[in-house]
Amino acid sequence: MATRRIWLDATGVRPGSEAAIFAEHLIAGFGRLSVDAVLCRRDPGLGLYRWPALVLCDRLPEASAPSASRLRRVWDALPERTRAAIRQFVRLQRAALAGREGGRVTRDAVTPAAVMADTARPGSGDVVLMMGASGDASRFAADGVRLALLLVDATPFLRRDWLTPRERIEADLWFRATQPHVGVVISATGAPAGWDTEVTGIAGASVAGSPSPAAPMPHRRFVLAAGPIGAAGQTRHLLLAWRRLMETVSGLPDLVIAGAAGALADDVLAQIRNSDGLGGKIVLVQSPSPAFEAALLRDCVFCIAMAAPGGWGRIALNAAVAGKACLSATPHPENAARLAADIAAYLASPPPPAVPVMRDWDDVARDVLRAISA
Amino acid sequence: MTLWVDVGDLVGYASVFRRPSGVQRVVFELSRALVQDDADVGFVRHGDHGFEAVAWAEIAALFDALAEDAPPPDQPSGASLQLQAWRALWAVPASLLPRFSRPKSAMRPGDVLLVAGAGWSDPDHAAQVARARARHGVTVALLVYDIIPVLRPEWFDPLQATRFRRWLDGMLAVSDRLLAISHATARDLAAYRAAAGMAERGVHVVRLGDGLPAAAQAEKAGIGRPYALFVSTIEVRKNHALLVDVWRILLAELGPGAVPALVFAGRPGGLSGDLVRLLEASDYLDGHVILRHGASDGDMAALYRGCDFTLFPSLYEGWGLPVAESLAFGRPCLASCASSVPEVGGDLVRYFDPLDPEDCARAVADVLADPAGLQAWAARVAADYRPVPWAQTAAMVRRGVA
Repeated sequence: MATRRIWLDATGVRPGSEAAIFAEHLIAGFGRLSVDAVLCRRDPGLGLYRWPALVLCDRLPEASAPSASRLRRVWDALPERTRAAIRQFVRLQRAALAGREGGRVTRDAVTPAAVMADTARPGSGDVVLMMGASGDASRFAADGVRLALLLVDATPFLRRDWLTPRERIEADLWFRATQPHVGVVISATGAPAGWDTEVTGIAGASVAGSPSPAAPMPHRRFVLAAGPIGAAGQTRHLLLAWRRLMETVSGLPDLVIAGAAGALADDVLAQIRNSDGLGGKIVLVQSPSPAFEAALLRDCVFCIAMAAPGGWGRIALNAAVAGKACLSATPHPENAARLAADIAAYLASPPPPAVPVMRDWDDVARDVLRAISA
Repeated sequence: MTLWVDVGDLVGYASVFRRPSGVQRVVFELSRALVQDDADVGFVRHGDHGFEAVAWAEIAALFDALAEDAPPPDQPSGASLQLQAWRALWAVPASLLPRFSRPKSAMRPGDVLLVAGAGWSDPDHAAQVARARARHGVTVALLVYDIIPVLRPEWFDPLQATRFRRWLDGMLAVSDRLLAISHATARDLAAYRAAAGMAERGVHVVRLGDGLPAAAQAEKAGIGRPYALFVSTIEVRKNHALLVDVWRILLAELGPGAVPALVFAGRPGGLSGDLVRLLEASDYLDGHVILRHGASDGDMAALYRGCDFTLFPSLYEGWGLPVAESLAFGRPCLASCASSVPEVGGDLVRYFDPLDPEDCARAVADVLADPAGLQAWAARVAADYRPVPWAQTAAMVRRGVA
């Protein structure tokens, strides 16, 4: 069946996350191939609506990057009566907006981006390409809409204990309702458990940006650890490993941890703050811009891809393109001792950088099109 | 020569908490042993006008109330009523009770003031000790448990770590004798002094006693199935997360039926929020992890006696009291090889790298695969481990301060 329009459904994809970055480049690739594809999100009341890639992927400057953990601390510090009052205010505000709009209004729906919403409904021949647990999409099947799953980060399937209780419930509901209707699973990260559907593997491309010309860490010799901060990025183990290396390796470079804070990051971030970055040996860069991250890659001794199994290998690809060796933390996940040994071995005898897989996002978009059309 | 033991922090701690921590337990057991030894010993705490004498009966009542089994809420025990009474009295400024104010201590030149508690909780403590030294001409002896807040500040609130460092620097400047509870702590202390440019000074190592077995009558543990036990406050330094990783590995490799429960006995402490959230999200590894908060000494004894073996994966210790307790109860222990821990159990304990869950999982799997071997190990522990009485610790302290 010819595909009329692809709805790349990024509901639940966090801005700045690996999935968001993948979506940004894939939708651009579709555009260059003149494929009718829109990036969208879903609201139970509004249905699918267009979601500007700018909102999904634009990052704030480092200095003003929002910190979920900081907000949580502020929230936790408020007296319960104040919190109850704020909750009540939000409820009333939503109810008022819902009354005005004639439907349920979510937090997304009251953002400026939602004002630009295109609530057109997918029709026969369209493909809804879901990137995550985006609510019950099964009703589209009745309209001749084909459902496909684009799996960029399998972590929620692999480590349910890193999800919040609400996320787990939502994922379960979505899985039960959606799985029977999904015709195609396209995965950049391996097959998730529990899916009967045949999985088509694709490889992502590098998303290395143009590095900013200024040195990001002047006068520092550093190793770059890039990836999510928290459980998925094994930051706790990295901290333990670096502490061990500080005791055993002379002339140890500094460590720059660059990434966005994800699940279960509060305690490890507190440890980094408490120790002033292990006495200045660790620098934390939260949510770096692509140019800043590229500059870090350019100037680092080597790179550590800090991600549990589940991601699509963005950091390793970027490191290869930048000509830097990349140590993957994945072979021994959650093992700080092995990680420390591997880092020490890299420092003693740096391996040559990997030969980059030179494919572009148009190729990735073509792969996705082929998988959808098969 | 009279040995004066500073019990100020024990009193302060009892005003706030309901269960004794390791430091308070040591101060109390050491003090009791000194009293039983019929030594020339007195007790002091700092009040409005310098160090004041505290009667042993007060301290004993206080600690008994802290360590007793929890009575029903509507039937407070005599000990807890006594504790409430002391708390009420301590809350009254001495200046308001001129007729009943405590007697000033009779410290004289040649006496020794032993600081064995957690004095860092009082920002003025080191200065108080310095004033007492200058005023009374006493020799100051400092018992150091560890200097972890200096070595690993990441595990502590910055204010707490800063207070500790200031207290330590102040106490090191004023102390005439240094005692440490392990060779590892003595080494850390020597390295710290050297780095700070302080003159080299000998550190007398004191072996802590094994207090819990003598004190506790075991009840039933109430777990209802085989289990491994980890006794410790739940905090990042104690490395509970490693055992969660280890149990996940074991459950995947051996299956749920072949893996015992894992019991964490201790109250949640700092930087444990993410671990608790992780456990809640996994439904406590589908019921394989059990938390026991607020266990009394009797509960703890029952937990030790009922377990198959204990675990102690701590990342850094000044000593490792739970290892000693485990051995004193005749229970085999698999422990971290970090810092002082190997000093506690010697070759009666099996060790693993606390940063390596696979190493620990292998050690636990070996134990589970060989029940007869575990039994033989337990028998060897029971036969070979010689619990150290607190009287021996007291004697070592007296030698160290002389």
